[in-house]
Amino acid sequence: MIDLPNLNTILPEFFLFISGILLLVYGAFSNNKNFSNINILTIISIFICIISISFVPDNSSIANSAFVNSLFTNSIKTFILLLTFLAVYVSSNYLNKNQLNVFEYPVLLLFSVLGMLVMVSSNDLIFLYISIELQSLALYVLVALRRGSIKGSEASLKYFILGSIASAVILYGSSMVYSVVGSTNYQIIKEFSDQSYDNLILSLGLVLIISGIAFKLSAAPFHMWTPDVYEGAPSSVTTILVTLPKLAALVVLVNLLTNPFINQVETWVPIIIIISILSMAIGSISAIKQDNLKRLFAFSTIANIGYVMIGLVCVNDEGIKASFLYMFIYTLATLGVFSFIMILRREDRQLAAISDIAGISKSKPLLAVAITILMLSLAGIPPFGGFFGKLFIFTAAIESGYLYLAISGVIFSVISAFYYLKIIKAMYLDESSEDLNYNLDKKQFFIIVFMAFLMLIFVLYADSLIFFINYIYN
Amino acid sequence: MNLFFFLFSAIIVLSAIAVISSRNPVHSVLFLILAFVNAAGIFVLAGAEFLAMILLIVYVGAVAVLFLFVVMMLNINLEEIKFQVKKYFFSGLFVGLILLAELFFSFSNLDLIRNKNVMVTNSKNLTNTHQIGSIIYTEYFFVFQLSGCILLVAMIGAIVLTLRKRPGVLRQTVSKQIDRKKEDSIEIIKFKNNNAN
Repeated sequence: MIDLPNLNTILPEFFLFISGILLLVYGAFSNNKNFSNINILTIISIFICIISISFVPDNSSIANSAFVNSLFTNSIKTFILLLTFLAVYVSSNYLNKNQLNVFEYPVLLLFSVLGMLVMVSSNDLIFLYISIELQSLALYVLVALRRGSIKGSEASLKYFILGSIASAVILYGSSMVYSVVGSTNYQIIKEFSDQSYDNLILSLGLVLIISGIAFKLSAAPFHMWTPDVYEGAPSSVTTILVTLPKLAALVVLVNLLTNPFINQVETWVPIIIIISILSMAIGSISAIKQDNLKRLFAFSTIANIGYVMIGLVCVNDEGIKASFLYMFIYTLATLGVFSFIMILRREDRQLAAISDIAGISKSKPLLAVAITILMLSLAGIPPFGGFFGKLFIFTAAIESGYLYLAISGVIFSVISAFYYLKIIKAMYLDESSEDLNYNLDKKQFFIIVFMAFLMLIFVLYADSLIFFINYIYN
Repeated sequence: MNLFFFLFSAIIVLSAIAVISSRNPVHSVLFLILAFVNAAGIFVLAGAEFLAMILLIVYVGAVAVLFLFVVMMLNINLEEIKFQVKKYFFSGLFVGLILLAELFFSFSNLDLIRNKNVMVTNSKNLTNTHQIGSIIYTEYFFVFQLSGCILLVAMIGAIVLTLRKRPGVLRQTVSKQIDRKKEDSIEIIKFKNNNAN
């Protein structure tokens, strides 16, 4: 008797796949004229997908537990889909203005998100590799979408070649793990490493897999591609790049380190410490001399990933919860920041230089206040959300005995405060040479203000958010 | 069996040397194809006939032909490459020595690599291809579908990045071609005879 798997387990992924294909067919036959229809349909399908997550049975698995769902993965998936919705919602005007309104854009985005959802649930190295490939391949194409620009082509080529090497490194590491364990399933790897935790080849495989995922997280010393790709990609794609894949890759890293490779703590903790300190240092110091906002926030991303990594070093639940809390706050704040970069235009040209935002406080006071709040939050100034993220991370580090990590984190966040404050200075104190020709539509304005509002009132819902993270992660 | 193994591996090594030493880049690619074909032969000897077929189809059929196209279309200047070889000689030597050391290390610690846990059972005496097929469509069904998804994304990407709709480009519109009627395209004009002069 064949027992059929409960297909509700993959319901969100299946739905996303089907809707991606249907949108592709609709787009191909509607002759590329009604991009707004496709955008609306994309948003509808994202929401139906969020609803379908509630039908997924808890703690269910398919394919010999290669694909596992829990309350935690379902919540992360919901958050990823919500972020996708925000990214689609905020970028429609930008895409129309920049002639990027091809119907393939939302379709590729949906396939990329499909890869991320599978990444979050994957409990098997093969599933992990295939899903990482799916999400990256769609993103390579999205980065290359602006064919005319030289920077865009350079960015996509760099991202494609380096990203393929990173995927190959992950695959090589997986093959080493398989060669000693004889299986790619996380549970079996853990059972194997319970007995022989000092296996050299297993550790080598682990190191290679960590390097590949650190590339996807753009953590130093695997960060070289980040500024170029973020600068060359269309701003709407950069908005996606800084939020969604980072969250999915963090979940993958946490799954790997705390489940199958928990016995190799001596191997991976020093690696994560080095990655964390290097990321914070490079992210904070290199950003100082950047004039381009997109490059600046690329380095800011690297630094923030460094802080997230501190939470992983603690090897306890407190640290990991702090990492996720930090990641949530970071993704929401950067989404607001990149929505702001999307609206900077002058004479049909997208802008991204710091000098271009000079004097915004006079023409758009509310916008300037919102951006100020986001900057202060990213810098970690007390009443805003970013401060609490850093607070929990550093507390977890000190409690686990990594005082030096917390101290270096504080030092580097002080350094990085310089360039966040530089942006505020440019908005309030500098004089503008010519007026910006905003194409500020209500959606983008709403998202920026909403994110700033979330950062502002973080104190009010911090308790319930922490309670929620405690509830889903156990 | 052993004889064939040494024959194939000798040809692989020799053609690999020929790939990097031949003056004409087209000859290099052809030697590369020779190396691939012989590697496929070694796979057949090892009993992995599916891998041998894949090697022939993917590497010889697609990758090597792609190489040939690139070499022929780009008109690569060999002197420049020779110059670059001198420039990167020592760093290349360094990497090569590391790889050689790794090879020695792994050969001296074969027991570390060899997997003692899982022995593949082949009770029904099925062929390699049959076994891979039976596992891909059952146990790894979802991964298989996902890889199909990757191919779809690659196809969409290739079309998005290369299909241009510019004015002035002549292209076929199938529906227009089918819609054409005799009345739209042919006009019958009757000439009067006296006008011919």
